[in-house]
Amino acid sequence: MVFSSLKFLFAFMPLFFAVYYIAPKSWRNTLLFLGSIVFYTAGEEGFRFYTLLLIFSVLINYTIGLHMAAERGKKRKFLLAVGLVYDFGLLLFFKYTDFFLENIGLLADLIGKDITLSPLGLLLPLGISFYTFQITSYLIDVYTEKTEPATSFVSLGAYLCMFPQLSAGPIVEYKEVSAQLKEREYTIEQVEDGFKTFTLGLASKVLLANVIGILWNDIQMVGYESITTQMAWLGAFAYSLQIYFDFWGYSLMAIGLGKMLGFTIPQNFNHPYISRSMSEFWRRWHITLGRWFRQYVYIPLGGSRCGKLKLIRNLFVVWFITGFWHGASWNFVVWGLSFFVLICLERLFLHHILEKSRILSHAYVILLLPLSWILFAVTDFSQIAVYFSRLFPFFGADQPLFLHLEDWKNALETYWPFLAAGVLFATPLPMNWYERYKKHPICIILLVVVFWVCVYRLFTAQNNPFLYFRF
Amino acid sequence: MTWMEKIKKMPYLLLILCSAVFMIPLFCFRTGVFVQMPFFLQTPPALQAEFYCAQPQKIQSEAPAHPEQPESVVSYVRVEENYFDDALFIGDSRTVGLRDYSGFQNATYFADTGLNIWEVYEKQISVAGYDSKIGLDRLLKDYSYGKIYIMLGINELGRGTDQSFLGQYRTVIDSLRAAQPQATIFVQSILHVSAEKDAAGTYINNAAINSRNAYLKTVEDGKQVFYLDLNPIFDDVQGKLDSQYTNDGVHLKVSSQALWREFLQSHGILAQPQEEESAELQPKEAVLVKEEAEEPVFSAALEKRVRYVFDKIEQETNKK
Repeated sequence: MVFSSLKFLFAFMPLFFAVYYIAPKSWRNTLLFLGSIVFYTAGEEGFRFYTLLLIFSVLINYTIGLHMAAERGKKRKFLLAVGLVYDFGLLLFFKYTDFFLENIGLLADLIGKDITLSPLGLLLPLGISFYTFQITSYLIDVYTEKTEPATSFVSLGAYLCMFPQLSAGPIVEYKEVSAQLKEREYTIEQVEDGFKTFTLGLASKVLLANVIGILWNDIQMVGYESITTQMAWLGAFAYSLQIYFDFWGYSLMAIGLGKMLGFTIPQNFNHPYISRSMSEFWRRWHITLGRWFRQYVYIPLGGSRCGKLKLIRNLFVVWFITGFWHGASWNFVVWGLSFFVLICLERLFLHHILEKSRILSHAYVILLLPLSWILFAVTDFSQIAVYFSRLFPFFGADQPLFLHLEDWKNALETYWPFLAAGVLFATPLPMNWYERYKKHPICIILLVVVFWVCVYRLFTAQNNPFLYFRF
Repeated sequence: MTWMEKIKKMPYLLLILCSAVFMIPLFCFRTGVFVQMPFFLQTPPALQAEFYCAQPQKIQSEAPAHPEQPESVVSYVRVEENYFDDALFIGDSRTVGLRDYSGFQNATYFADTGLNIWEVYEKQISVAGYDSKIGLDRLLKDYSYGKIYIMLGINELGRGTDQSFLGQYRTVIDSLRAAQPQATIFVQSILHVSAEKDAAGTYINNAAINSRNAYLKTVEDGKQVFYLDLNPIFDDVQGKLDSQYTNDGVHLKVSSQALWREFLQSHGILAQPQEEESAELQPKEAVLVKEEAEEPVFSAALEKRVRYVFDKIEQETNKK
C-alpha cells in the first residue's frame, strides 16, 4: 500500500492510529507489528507468500541475534555468517536471479555455446532491498556489540516491519530506535507535527513528483529519437526533479508517520541539489543508504586510511554495489560507477578546483546530475545512446526524421509552474520558512488546503476511470 | 490538561478532521467515484454511460451479427499528400502525436489528450488558426471538409458498454454527416496496446479493444463511412501492439508514426468524378446551419437517476 493512496489515507491510517492511540501502552509494539503486516499484505499484490518471507526474516534474525550475543569466538562468527547468507541470499535470489541467468546466457553466446536459461520471472517482494539492509545492520551491530540484541520477537518485528519505512526506507538502524521500542511517548504536539510533515511529503509526491513525471512520460511516449535537444535537456532536468520529490516526499511521509507513532526516523535527504560536489551530493541524498554503505562496507574495507590504491578499490566496491542495489540491470552499475569515477576525481584533484568557485561547483553538479539520472532512468543501453545523441547532437548524430521543433516550448508552457516550484523546493528556503512559521495560523490553513488539493488529485487520478482520461 | 488545552494544541489535525466530513463526500460526488458507495449513491451501470452523455443517444443494441463483415466494395487508392488538404482529424492523444510530429501539416486537427466520443462535441480545444479554444461544431460550421478521420475509443474503455459506445459513436457520425454531407468519414480502429500494458490487468486491454472494434466495424456503410483497421500493421504475432513501435505501451513512438501516415496515404478514396474538385479547404459561406436546440440532457439523466434511486428504495421497503 503506498502512502499516497486513498486506501492508505482514509482506511488504513485512521483505523490504525485510532486503535494505536486508544490501546494501552504495552500493546503498542504488537499493534505496530500486526498493523505493519496488514499494511504489507495489502500492498503485495497477488503474492501473499512474501509476507511469510518477511516474518521468517524477523524470526530467523531474532533467533540468531539472541544466540550470537551469548556466544564467543568462532561460533559467533559462524552465526553471523549464517544470518548474512540467509538475508543477502534471499535478496540476491529474488532480485537478481533473472539478471544472472540472462548474463550467463549472453556469456555463453560469446564463447559460442548455446545455453538458454529461461528466466524465473519472480516478482520482487516489496521493500526487500530496504528490509534486508535494515536487518543485516541489526545483525552486524549485535556482532560488533554496538547494540544489545532485541529482547522480544515482537519488538524486533516492530522495528523491521514498521510500516512508515517498510517499503522504501529510510534505512533505520536498530540502535537508533531500540530505546523507543522499549518505551516511547508521543505528545499531541508530536502527532500534530508528524501529520504536518506527512502532508508536506504527500504534497511533494502528489503535486510535484507525479505532475512533473508526466513530462518524462511524454518524452518516453514520443520516443527519445524524436525529441529536440532542448527537450532532451528539459527532460533530464525534469526527471531529476521528479525522482527527488518522489523519494524525498516518501521519506518525509515516513518521518511524519514515525513521529505520530513516537519514533524518530532519521532524515534521508538534506537538499541534495544544492551540493557543490558529488561527494557532498551523496552526503545529502539518500543519507541512510550512504550511511549503511559507509559503516558496513567502506570502513570495514579500510576506508580511506590505507593508501590511495586501496582507497580507489574501496570506492569502486562501494559504488559498484550501490549501483547494483538500485536495480538488477547493467545501467544501474554504470550509473553507480559514474559516481565512482567522479568521486575519485574529486578526491584526487577536482575538489581543489571546485572549492575555489561557487558558480563552477554548482554548475558542475547541476549539469552532471541530470546526465547521471538518464543512466538511471533508461535501462536499455541503445536507448541511453539515443538519448545522449539528442542531448549532444553536435557529435554527428543523424538528424531525426520527425521533430516537433517547439516541443520544449509546449512542455514548458504546461509544466513551468511545477518546474519552478520544484526548483524552489530543491533549495532550503521553503523548508526553513516552514520550520519558522509552522505554528502560524496562515501556515496551518495553507497546509489544510494543500492536503485537500492532494486528496482531490488522488481522487481524480486513481480511483476514477471515468473522469481521468489520460490518452 | 483540560480538554480545551488539548484541543488548542492540535489545530491542524482538528481542521483536517472537521473538513473531512464534507470534503470527502464532496470529492466523491465531484469526481464520480461511486464505487463501494451505498446503493442510493451508486450510478447503475446501465445509466453510467447516459449520465455522462453529452448528446442524447439512442442505444442501438445491434451487435455485429457476423464477426466478419462483408468486404467493402470500395477500392482504396494511393493518394498524394495534398489529398489531406481538406481532411479533418478527430482524435485523442494518439492523434495529437500525429499532429505534432509526423502528420500531414496541411490537414486540420481536432485532437486533444483525453478526448473521447462522449465529449467530442463538448470539449473546447485549441485548433491551429483559431486564437482561442473552440468546439467541434464551430469548426464544422466554419469549414467544409472532404474527409473526416476519427480515432477515438481508448479513453472510453472504462466507461459505458460496447453497445452504448457504439451508440454514441453512431450519434457522432450522424451529426458529422448532417453537418458535412459531402465528407467521407473514416473510422479508424482503436489501436491495440502492447503485451506489457495488456498484462497489467487494467481496464485498458486488448480484449476490450477487440470487442469495441468489432462493434465499431459495423458503422461502415461502404458509401460514406469507412472503417480502417490499423491494427494489422502495428500488431506483433500475438495480436498486440508490437513493443518496437511504442515506449509506453499505448502511444506510437513518433518514429513509428510514419507507418500510420503511410497507411492513410495508401487508403485514400477518390471522390466521384462528377466535378473537377480541387481538394482545397473551403471556408463555408455564412450558411445557416440550424442550431439544434440544446436538449436538457443532464437533467434527463439526472431524472432517470433519481427515478432509479426511488425505485430502489421502494424495492427495499417492499422487501421488508
